[in-house]
Amino acid sequence: MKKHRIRLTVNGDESEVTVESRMLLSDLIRHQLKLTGTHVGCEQGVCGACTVIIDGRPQRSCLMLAVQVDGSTVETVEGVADGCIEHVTQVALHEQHGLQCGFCTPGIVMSLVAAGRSGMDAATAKRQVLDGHLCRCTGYVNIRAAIDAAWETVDGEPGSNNPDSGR
Amino acid sequence: MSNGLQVIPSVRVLRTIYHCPHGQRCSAGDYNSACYDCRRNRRTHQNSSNPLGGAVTRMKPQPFDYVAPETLDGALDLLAQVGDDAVIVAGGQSLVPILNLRLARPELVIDLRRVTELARFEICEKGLRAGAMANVLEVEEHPDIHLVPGLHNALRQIAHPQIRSRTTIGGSVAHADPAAELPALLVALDGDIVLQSKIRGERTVSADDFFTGPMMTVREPDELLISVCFPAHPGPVAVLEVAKRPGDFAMVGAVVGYAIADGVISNPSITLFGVAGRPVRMASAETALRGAIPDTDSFLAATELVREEVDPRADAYASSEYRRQVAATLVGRALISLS
Repeated sequence: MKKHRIRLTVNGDESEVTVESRMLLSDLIRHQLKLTGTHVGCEQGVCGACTVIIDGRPQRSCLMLAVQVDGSTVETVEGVADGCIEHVTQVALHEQHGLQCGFCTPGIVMSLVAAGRSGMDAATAKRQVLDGHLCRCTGYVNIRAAIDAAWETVDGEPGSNNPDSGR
Repeated sequence: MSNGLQVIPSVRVLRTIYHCPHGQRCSAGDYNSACYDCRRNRRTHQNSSNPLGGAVTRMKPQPFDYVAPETLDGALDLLAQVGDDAVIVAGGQSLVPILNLRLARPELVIDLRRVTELARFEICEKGLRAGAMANVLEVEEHPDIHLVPGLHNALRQIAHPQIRSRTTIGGSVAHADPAAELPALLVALDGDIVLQSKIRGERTVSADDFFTGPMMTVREPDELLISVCFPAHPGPVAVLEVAKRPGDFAMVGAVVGYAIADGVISNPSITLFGVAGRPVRMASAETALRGAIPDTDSFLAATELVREEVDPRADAYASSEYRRQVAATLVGRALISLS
């Protein structure tokens, strides 16, 4: 029972992997599935860098065992862009200089995508989403500007990909 | 053409230049710590005998077995067999960091995610009853949540949305963190907790008896927390806390409620959390408020009694004296906000 064969859908691709009971979801994503866009900071749920969307909800991948996502759908930052067209939140973070080192950005993008899909307004997103993310570079001012810009671009719905909003 | 500067012959350091197999210059040998491919190859090579396929297996928690039973009976059977060496994971938002830090080294992790019968949230005779696996984010949006004053307020202050999406009510109560909101709310509302074991069956414990110390409860190793009851307080309830950042664990928190009957205060309830090993009721302040007229004088007298009665712990984040001040201030603020 120490090893488990699990099935999960990652960014639309179904995969079947063997994991140890103690493997964290973040380690599965990064080391076994080689999707290193998901970053790992504190590994105790504080920093938010490892946030991914599991079954539609933003969750910390470092606070889950890989076996727990058996049968779930996982979205990581690699699956957010539509081919070479970046997601509106990515465009906005880029254009508003909402990142410097970029370590926290994948987590923030995932939380913002989920917030947009849930129909959250920009003001709530700025307050609630950023609660769960530490950024040591920007001082959050530009991230807040990026949220405003992203929400403005798609008129309050940055959850779906909008090719017209590309650069 | 001379630019006027004299060319000083450079002192040559006699050092052989090595190259790693990936063409990057390095100081010694064929391994280059600055080369991404070298690092990846070494990791893969080190683990080449690994049946999992050569992935990095530097794990944080110590090895354990994992089972996700489908039914409550299945979970209780497992607990009866393994008991002490097993931990139960509900949402895992406190347990997984504990496993990562190896503060807990269980033989077996029992995941309750498939036990859907524990995820109920329903109206009971005293107020609201939440199954152990009721999810905080879902309960927060439940239409009946306002039947229990203070519950919504308490839930909203638990961690961040990304963590609340997995947090469970049973997990928070069973974990019994001294700075957590739900144990304090249960103590404040005189709630109760239902435990079940395969051998001894079901028992109901009052919240006051349930919490014995930091992360300690009267739950026996073979018992499972089935549900908790949040009784409806007759008056409004305020949940206030002071934390370094919103969503962090509270340095000090207060759950305060009272009702007004015939112009005087009835059912006063003052509970502090984050100040001791478990949530504490402020009995002297409650006695002083019972039957008093709800005005600034009685509120001030109550906060003074809180200041005298509370004996806060000190830690790296706040001194005992600071916690005492904050506790009194929070109780005062809560009393005024409810009037």
